[in-house]
Amino acid sequence: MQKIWSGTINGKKIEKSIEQSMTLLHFLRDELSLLGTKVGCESGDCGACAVIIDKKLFNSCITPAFAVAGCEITTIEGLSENGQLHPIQKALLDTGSFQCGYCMPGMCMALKCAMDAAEHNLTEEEIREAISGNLCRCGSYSLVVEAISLLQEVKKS
Amino acid sequence: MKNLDLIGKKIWKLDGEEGIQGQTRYGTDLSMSGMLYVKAYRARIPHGKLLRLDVSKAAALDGVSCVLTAKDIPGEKKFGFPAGADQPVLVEVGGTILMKGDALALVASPSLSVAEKALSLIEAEYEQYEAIDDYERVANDSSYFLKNECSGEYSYERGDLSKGQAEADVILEGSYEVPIQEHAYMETESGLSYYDSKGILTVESGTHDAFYVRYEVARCLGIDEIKVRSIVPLVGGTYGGKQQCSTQLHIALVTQKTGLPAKMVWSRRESMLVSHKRHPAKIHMRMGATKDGAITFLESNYVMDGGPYSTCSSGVCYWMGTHSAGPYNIPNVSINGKAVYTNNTVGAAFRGFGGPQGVFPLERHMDKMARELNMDAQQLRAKNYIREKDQPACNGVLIDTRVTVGEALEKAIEKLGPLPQPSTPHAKVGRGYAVAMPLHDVSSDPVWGMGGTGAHVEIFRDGSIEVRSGTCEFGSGLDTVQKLIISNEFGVPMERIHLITSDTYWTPKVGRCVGSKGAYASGQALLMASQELKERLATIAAVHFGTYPVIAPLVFANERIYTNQQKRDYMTLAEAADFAYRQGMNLAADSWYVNPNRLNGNAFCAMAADVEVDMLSYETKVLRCGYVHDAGTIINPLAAIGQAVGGVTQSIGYALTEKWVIEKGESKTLSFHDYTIPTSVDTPHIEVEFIEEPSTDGPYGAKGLSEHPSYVGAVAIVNAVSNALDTEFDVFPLTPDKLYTYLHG
Repeated sequence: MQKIWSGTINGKKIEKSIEQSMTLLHFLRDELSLLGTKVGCESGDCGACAVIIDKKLFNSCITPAFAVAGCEITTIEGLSENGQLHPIQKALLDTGSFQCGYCMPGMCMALKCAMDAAEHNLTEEEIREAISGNLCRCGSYSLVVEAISLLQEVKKS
Repeated sequence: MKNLDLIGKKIWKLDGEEGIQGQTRYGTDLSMSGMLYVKAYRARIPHGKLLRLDVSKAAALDGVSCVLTAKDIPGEKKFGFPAGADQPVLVEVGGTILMKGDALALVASPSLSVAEKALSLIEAEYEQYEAIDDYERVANDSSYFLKNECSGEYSYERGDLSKGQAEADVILEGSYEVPIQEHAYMETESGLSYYDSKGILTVESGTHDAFYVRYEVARCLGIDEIKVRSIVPLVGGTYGGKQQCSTQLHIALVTQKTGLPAKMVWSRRESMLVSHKRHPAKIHMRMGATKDGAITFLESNYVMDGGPYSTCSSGVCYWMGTHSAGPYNIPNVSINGKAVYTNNTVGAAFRGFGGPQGVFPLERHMDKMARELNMDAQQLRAKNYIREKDQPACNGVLIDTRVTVGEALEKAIEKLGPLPQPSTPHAKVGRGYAVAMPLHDVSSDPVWGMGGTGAHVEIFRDGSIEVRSGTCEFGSGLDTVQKLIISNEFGVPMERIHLITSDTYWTPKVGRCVGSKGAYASGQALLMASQELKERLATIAAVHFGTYPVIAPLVFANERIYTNQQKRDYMTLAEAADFAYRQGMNLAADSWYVNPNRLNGNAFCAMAADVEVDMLSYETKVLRCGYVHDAGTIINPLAAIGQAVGGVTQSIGYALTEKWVIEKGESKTLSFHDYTIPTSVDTPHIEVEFIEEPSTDGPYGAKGLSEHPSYVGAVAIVNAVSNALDTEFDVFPLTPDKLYTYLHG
């Protein structure tokens, strides 16, 4: 059954008629062509599809689109501004974290979410915790930790 | 010549800026209007005869465009690389199912949900056979087999074992078991096929070799290869796992049948069920040494499980053999191994390609031998390292570079500092390490059709450069390295170079990008083409400066061609290209690099790791890793570090958590919560150092890089756990349940 979904995605008001059973992942990808949110497992295990919803991190593959209607949703397409990389993205590229890159959009969302929520610089342990739901088979974790640590140092100074 | 301005500088991955903003289009992201979704109906049993297949209800379902079975395949009904085409594209009625998940039928519909529903309407009936699942028994019991042959064999003898035994003061035997490992790339297998405007059937899919896909698709569809175009978009991880055809033949069949674009994306479960794995293996090893630690002989017999289809088992079995004697100079050696057919998962290429299976028993055995001799394990290794003029065992070639294995191990251990104290009273800590020397390069084996690598370089009239290379980019940074090489050669900035890769329409053929040879072989091909162009440019410069027929050596920098090192007299590259244009000279060059039948440089590597085992939960944590690798000249440190850290991380999973459960041919671990690959909290800080001992024949002195951490990673960690618990662990992964059973029975 079709129903009107309304909410905010990347700062833009969206209203669209979609299947009531649709997951947020398929809504973003198939209906809105926001293909930066990746399909990895469709069971909430890998974090490739992570997006920020009202300042919290969600795996969009197991989130029904209508469960988050009316919310403010940020996807990877909403992270960089005016084509300028977000400092998190730049930091990740600087340490060579980006390999096949498939997990990277989800990873960026997890880092953004944790860094926005924290009132202090994240410790190494907290950085690891922040991305613990984002599988990266290229195995870049320790480079991601290094990237964020360096980024926070630069910010501090 | 190495232009120090660029080579060795940290350069962002070419596709990084786009990819990190989510703009990269992987196979899973591709779509076209009017596209059909394709799903495969798969065998529910691992072994049996397909008695009946009823697709009529599925075909009659509203919205289904077509249902295809084996009889709809116009061309060859089997595929497979390289040993022989022995895997059915679709199993025909009356045919034999050899693996759970074998494809039986395809459904296609413009609606994914209709396609999925149609699958549920297909009925199959089987005569089930006993699953042949005990690969060790297959190797030893002639009455128990799936196919009455081996999928791979390796045999090497040198010296005289009985002499080595007579000289030994200590003889040590051991049995080892190496597990299955799933590739678990984040992007599952996917592909899109369509007819282009000229009626060419085009397939876009993630793989290691666009040309192999073209070959298989043409064979399967019964058409000429010139009627097929194969394109490889950026691949969301493969690590060797996407070498064979996965979705390609199925989508191509649907497009051929319907004329419509067709897309297939494997579900995670499907990917884990059907995709190829790292071969499990069982090894029995005997080694003798004198009291003072000189190894007198090594005997190893092994068997690998290749599953039901040959794929590249012959190569993996061979490579396991070539890694069995390691970087040691052992006078008397006997290695015999085989890969056998079973109804288990298909064993095929996975980063290291048999190397990890060969290195594990040897490096475990070295530790045990050291204990037996009451000797330091590092000292025992050092005493036996191969030296420059030695002839390595196991068909290896030692290229004329410095042997850096001892240095690598020393540095790797140094990186760890002192062994930390246990963090709790019920924890134990330990340190382990391992070394390896890749000896043989399967990627240059002419039998596999991978020995040659082409490149095309063309300088346009305005001085910008187009490069065409058949290589694929799946995360290793090969595209970036290729652009860097051309940029370095001509002194042209990266943004004025256009690189076209992995599209059979436009790019010259390459032998597939495997075996850590991408940058090595394509780099050489690019250098050859560049050299040819530079010779033509030198003639132009000589005419320009009035020195012709005397041709002076040139310097290429700042988009200019200088006649001397002081960079005074120059013409711009654009001027030279314009001159060539007006004179009717060709500034395009094609090269063909034939890989030498030997290794990409002897890229020695070593890893050291500290672990802590919690004796209440039996969980093992890797505390720190030091990985040191002689990869020759590092062309782009940002790509190199990723490969090193990534390989170590995959090894941590292989050693500790990645437990593949398969019973009677039925895999049980078909999701990420059942098959647990490492997460950020399972991975420590990994300290990496490269020893840059230049190779004699890699581009700028580069050597192979990507596979090596996989050789040493898992065994270093298992050695560390063995040391921590003072117990010899000869199997892994060391999951808590395995540790507990091992210790308490």
